[in-house]
Amino acid sequence: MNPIQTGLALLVTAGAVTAISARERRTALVGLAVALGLSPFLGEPLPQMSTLASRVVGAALAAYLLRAVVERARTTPARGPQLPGGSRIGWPAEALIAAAAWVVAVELAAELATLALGDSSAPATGVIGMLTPAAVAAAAGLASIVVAIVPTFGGRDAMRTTTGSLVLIQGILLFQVGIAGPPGDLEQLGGVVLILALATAGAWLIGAEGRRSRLEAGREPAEDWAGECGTGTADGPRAPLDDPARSSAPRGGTP
Amino acid sequence: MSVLLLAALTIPGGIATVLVAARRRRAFAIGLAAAAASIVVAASIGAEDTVPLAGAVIGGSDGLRTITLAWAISTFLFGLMDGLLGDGPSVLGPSLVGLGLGALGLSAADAGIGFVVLTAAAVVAAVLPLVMVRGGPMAAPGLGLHTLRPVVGAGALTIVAVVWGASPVGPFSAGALPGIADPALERSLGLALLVVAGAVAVRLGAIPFHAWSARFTEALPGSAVPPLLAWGAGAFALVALGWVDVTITPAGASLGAERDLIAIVAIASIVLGGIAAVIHDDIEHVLAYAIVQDAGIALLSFATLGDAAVAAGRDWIVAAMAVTSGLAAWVLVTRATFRTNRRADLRGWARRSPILGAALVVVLAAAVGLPGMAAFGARGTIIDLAAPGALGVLVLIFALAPVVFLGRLLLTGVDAMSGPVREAARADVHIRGGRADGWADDPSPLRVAVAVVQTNRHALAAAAAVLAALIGLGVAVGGLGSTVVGGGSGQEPGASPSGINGGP
Repeated sequence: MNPIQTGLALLVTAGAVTAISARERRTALVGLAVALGLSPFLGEPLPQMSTLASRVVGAALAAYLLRAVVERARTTPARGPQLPGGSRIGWPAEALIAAAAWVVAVELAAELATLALGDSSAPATGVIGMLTPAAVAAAAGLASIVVAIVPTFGGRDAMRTTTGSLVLIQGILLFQVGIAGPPGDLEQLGGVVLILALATAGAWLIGAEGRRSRLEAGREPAEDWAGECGTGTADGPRAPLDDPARSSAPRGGTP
Repeated sequence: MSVLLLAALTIPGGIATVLVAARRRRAFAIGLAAAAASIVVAASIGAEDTVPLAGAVIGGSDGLRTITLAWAISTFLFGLMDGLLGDGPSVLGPSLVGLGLGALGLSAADAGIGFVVLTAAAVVAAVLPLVMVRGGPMAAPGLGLHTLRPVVGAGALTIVAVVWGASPVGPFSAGALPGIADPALERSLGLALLVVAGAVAVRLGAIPFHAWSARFTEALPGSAVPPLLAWGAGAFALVALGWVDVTITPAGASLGAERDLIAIVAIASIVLGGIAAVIHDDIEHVLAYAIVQDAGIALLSFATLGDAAVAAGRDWIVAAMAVTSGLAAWVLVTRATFRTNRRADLRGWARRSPILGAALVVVLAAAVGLPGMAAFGARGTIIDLAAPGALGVLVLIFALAPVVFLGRLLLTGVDAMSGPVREAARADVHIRGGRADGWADDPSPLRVAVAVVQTNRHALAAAAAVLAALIGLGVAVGGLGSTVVGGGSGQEPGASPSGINGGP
């Protein structure tokens, strides 16, 4: 057992559970930052320092992107606006699900380690001995995957779907470390790109939801949308397709 | 090195285009310059272009050059069309990012890298263009979530499959020898095949996972479709096909039930997609269901493993990517020119705009094909291998549905003109004295040139659509051919590939 790796894996799991279950958005972001920021330190051997730094910076940037937009966007989910945010079953239930995933993943990692050694009669080393760096990485990864599936594919709003997607992808990449060994540096950098792409898309969607909420409340004119996003023409926002004003008839002037 | 240069050009160029999107002219200038440069770089990719990078290998090949060149030209043409038609640069930026990441994903010798990077590209291409969604800010968040979920789900499934492949219970482990029937391994191989084929079905929008792609296609301008549902989805399918070829096929397992299940889903997509494209009147719906049908044929190549099926699958996927781009270009320009998307209101469109008529004729030729064309042969081979006999003939008949739904649109085009078509003066090429004509406030050559472009912008966009269709025809004629054979690296755990990378 590696106590540091085990502690980090527990923190990653706690961060994932917090990110998924917290009703307060800022609390969820703290959990997300912990889960994303600590997961690069799991597994053995650790990646090169430059890769490790890239993953940590990518995680911080992803959390910051979401924080920046959550600060401004006060949104109402399109589905179930009367329901509170976060997990419907509460953090204790999510934590128990994560704990069950830990048990399964540690046992799975132990079996895989036996297979990899080619000795099916290897003696059991006890629960503590089973907590190898690979096992705890797989456990933290599987726990993240399990708690993130529902918010990713059934989330009511952009914030919950984005958080779920980030935890899910982070969990799969972590599960890979535990089951198939640490990926190469380029694949880890690819993971950073994916995390940043998800955070960017999520931030955009959260911002769009906030804008929709303001429009529904009548606090913002619709034209601002087109102008800010560059979808308008040089003369202003893009007119609807059936607007006769959007005609290409020649203007007067010198031929 | 050319692949890295392509990524270094397009990814920052795309990000810069997105960041300055509010300043349309500046954004278009940056984006089109990056797209034009990417065409030159893509043309220089070669088989000897292999670079070690961060512990992996980025390899070029002739097949990769074909795809990236067509992809880059398509990106440039759609950017040009968006500029001419008054749409914003919100598609051009994500398209450039998708091109760069797609080239990296296709060239990586490890399928894990390919899936991760291509999923990132799809996420960007799925969400950022939503500023142009019809329905505006009220519709964008919902559509964004419905598009994001399948993209993330497909990526997650494939990464899990790659993890399994490289794990001690995967086929590369010491105990699993090629051709040796191990029941446990055979079950795992079958499950892995289903997972990857399911991910491809979701990502390509095959039935029953077509709802998201159909909604995306009908809600956004045609320029937003190719980066996500043609080039991006095709690249994803190519990497998946390469992974299956390297990981599943060599084990020699029969996997009859799994292949039958994949074939049923694929044939349902071919049949129902073709019928839906025929009965729908909106041109966006026709595009959406043409994509569903193409996805079915691509999926069918996963139902029959072997060198012939894989080679045909690659040819078909690449051709379908390019032809879909041509059809999307026609849809984009036709809707913008005539301000309608209904076939009944488009009567006489080809007589009003012969350039657009030429574009659809080329698309029809590429989509249906002729004997001797790579896409035509690939479609026949895939169907014949997956569904031999009378069923195969029936499926092939449905697979030729483009003859009906595109032919019907062409016949509508030569009908008597409807009101909206007759009134669409913007479709005309304004010519005076044998030259294209425009109106400017002063007679300086630059002003006149700008005025000529502005006055004839719909005709110029139609010409760009013809070029996009010609690219589709060219790829459908040539395919990837023999350039893919022996491209992959092969046998290392998790290595895979698209089959068009150079490998180590």
